[in-house]
Amino acid sequence: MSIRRHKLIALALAVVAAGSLAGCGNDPEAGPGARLIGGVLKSKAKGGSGSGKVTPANADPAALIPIALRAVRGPVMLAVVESRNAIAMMGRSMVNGAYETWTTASKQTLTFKSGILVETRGLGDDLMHAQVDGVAALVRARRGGKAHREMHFLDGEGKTYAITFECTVSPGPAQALAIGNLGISSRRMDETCDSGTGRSIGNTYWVAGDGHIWQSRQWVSPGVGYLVTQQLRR
Amino acid sequence: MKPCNARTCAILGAFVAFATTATAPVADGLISAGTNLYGNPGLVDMPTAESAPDANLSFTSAHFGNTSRNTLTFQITPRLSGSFRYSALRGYYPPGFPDGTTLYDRSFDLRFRLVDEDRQGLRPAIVIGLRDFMGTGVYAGEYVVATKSVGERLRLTAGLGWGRLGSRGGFASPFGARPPLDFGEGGKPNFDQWFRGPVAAFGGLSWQASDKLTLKAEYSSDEYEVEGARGVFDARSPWNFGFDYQIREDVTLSGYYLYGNEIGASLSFAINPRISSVPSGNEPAPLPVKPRASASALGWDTQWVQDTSTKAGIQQAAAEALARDGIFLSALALHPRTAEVRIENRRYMAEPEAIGRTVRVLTRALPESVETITITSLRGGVPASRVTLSRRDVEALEHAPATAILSRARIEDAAGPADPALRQTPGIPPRLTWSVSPYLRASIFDPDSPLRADLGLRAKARYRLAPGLELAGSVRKKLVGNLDSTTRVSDSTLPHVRSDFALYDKQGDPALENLTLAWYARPGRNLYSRVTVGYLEEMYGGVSGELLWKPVESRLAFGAEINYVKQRDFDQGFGFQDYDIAMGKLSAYYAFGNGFHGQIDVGRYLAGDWGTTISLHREFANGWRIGAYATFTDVSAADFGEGSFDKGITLTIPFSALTGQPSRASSDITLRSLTRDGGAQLEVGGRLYERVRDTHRPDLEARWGRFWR
Repeated sequence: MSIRRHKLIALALAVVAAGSLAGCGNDPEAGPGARLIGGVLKSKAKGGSGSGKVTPANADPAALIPIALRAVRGPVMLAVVESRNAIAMMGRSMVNGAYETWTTASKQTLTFKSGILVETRGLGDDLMHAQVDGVAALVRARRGGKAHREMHFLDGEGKTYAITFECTVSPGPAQALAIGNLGISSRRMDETCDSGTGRSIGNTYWVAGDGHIWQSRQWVSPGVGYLVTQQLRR
Repeated sequence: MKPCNARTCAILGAFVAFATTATAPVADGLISAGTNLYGNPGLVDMPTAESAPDANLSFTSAHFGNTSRNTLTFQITPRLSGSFRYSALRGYYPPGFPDGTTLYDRSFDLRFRLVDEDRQGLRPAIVIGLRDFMGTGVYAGEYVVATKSVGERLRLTAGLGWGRLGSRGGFASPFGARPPLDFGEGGKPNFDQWFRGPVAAFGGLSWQASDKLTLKAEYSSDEYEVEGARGVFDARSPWNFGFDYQIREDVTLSGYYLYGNEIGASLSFAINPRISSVPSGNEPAPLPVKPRASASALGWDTQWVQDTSTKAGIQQAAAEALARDGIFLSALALHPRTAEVRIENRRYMAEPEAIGRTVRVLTRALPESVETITITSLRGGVPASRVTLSRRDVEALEHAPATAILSRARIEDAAGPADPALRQTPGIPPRLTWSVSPYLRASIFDPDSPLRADLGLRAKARYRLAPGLELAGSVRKKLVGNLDSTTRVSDSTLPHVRSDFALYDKQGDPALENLTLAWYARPGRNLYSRVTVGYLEEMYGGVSGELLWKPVESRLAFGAEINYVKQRDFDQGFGFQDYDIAMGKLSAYYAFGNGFHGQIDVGRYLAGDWGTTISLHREFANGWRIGAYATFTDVSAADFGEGSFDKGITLTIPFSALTGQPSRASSDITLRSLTRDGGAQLEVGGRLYERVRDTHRPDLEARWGRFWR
């Protein structure tokens, strides 16, 4: 009988080996080290919010606000990924036409168009693009109505897929917001959306008289869920 | 109203669940993550007409009595699946048998779903399957099986089986008698056997008791004749019972009561290349585009062009910013209205992501007058393709869908004379790259010890003498392991071009895995070339030359490779043995565009045999690849030995898909049933097609969704 054999680097063993033993060198293509495994566990636990300045939600956000306001010049926003118990302070890093991009200390970004979230980067299941012009017009005018929403994501293979929603925007009650030392009178606007394929989402915006969205709770993606934002300084 | 007890409540609950979901869209396939003792969708020992989710890759290790079956199953398309199985039947041979009493057997299955279930109507899903359809045929059986779901939890299965699956209660032989099996050296399809001989009925049901627990019962049409006669296993009753318990989404534990006298258990792991918990990856956000001030309608100042120190400063700043993203800005040519950068992407599996990050950094670094930006992707310092973008488009489309910028991008071959204004970035990329990392080498399927492995350290270094000219080497040192404990010696009648691997394992510690000087170049448009000299691989040294024709837009490529090699000493030092050979091949590559990729090689193999290798892969944009190959040469089955010809399954697993961290590294696994001398290929590094194809349009388009990531 003949010799039988062949090479197999079993998946499980490879993962174990990669997890327990770190490589070194300056070749980025050399392979994984323990660092990579640590990264994914963190991402599962914290959803890709790297360490940086992202603070666990059980720290007192109220104590952070004055620090952030002192540390950052210009506009400041507080963002919370609900499902991950993670808070981040963000500064506005770029304005390109109607699009505003905000960045955390750990290099994650959120992009808004007229206060509506249209992109995220670095959250693990990013919102790659969104078409929200109809929704934005209604919300900022504090008017009810129907609008279309289209959101693009990457699937597990890294290919783009879209979810389109039909949305209803309806005005809610007037609410006074206390943001830092500011008192802002706002109207709550609710947006409920249905994809027609079994996915429903509900976004909420607190809109000032000039149409500025001071506070919001917006759906990001299937993997991230909802993001809560509060702008601390315009 | 009378309150229901636990059982009727459950049934009532199931009914309500069914009633409320009955209006949901009809699923095309009958999907099940559960596997049977053969690692296929099924009940206990019998198959069902269920299918795994598309692209699902599962590994099932099942054990009962004296039998173990380890099965890898891949759902090749939504309808077609294939399995590879390695089983052990202990006590199959009488005591004192020279190779031990255990039969180790490899088997392949194919299943195809002919008919989809009609959820609302009566039509069941129907699958036709071939089990162990080639080789020694220990598990050979063919079947046609139908499964119908009744509500959301109950599934009923009935089928007809031939071969083993017709061995109990066979009632007719509709397609004639099954001829005696003459498998020769094994490893070939047994066409004349399929669906011949007595046919018998089998069936059963599965009941999904909860989200995690499924109960199963079946009537088996497998008599276990051979096992019974040889005392491996005695099937007293046709009734089998079992449960599947889903421990995690991707891990299932099953327990069985089998054939009236035995218990069994199996553990199944599943992974799906199309599913990721971090689909967009955990890499940091890119720097946003910096739009130019729109007020400069009068035209931008181009005075800076005169100032070389400004140019150097721009290049240095851009190179530093890109290096933080794992992209090496190797050279820059700066003109008043246009700029070309040459980059080496060392971090992102998707080249468009590297290109997108590069162009965003450049919007911050380049003077405002530069309107046209060309990004050339280098491979080993040699230009492969280039993407030209208008800066205005980049500014306007940053927040548009990724397809918008794709339709504005010009993708071209980057061959031809370089722009004389190109200036190399000092020290980028670094001339010397090196790494020291652990390695694992494993050997399976040796009947003396079905799993052997070595663990050790591997040091690699690569020194770039000039763009395209590099010296590279790799050395490994074993720390622990038992690969050297193989006692079998090759009985091959061919030159021992591969079958002496055990001697290499035994004597090669430490081993010089390779040490080569390689020259990569672009001899012309659509053409790529490679010349490699030195210790090419573990067992061979010599010289290897390759030429590839691959237009940047094309899904088709042709290659030619010619090698003169000499067999290395077993100690994997610098010495050579007497055997030398001139060999090579012509290759055709084709990307079908639906995720499938084919390759045909024709040529002369290491033992001097002439023949052809056919391979087919399913590829995923994230870097996963699963495929199979077979090599047919003029070596006869008798000379080849067990298995008749070389064939195997290949698997490429990208680290980025497992970890969520960006990386171009991946692990290649070849599951080859046997290492023999016929149809053996040279394993030289740096082959051109895989090196350049991901910079060409078909691959760029498949991965373009990550351009703005």
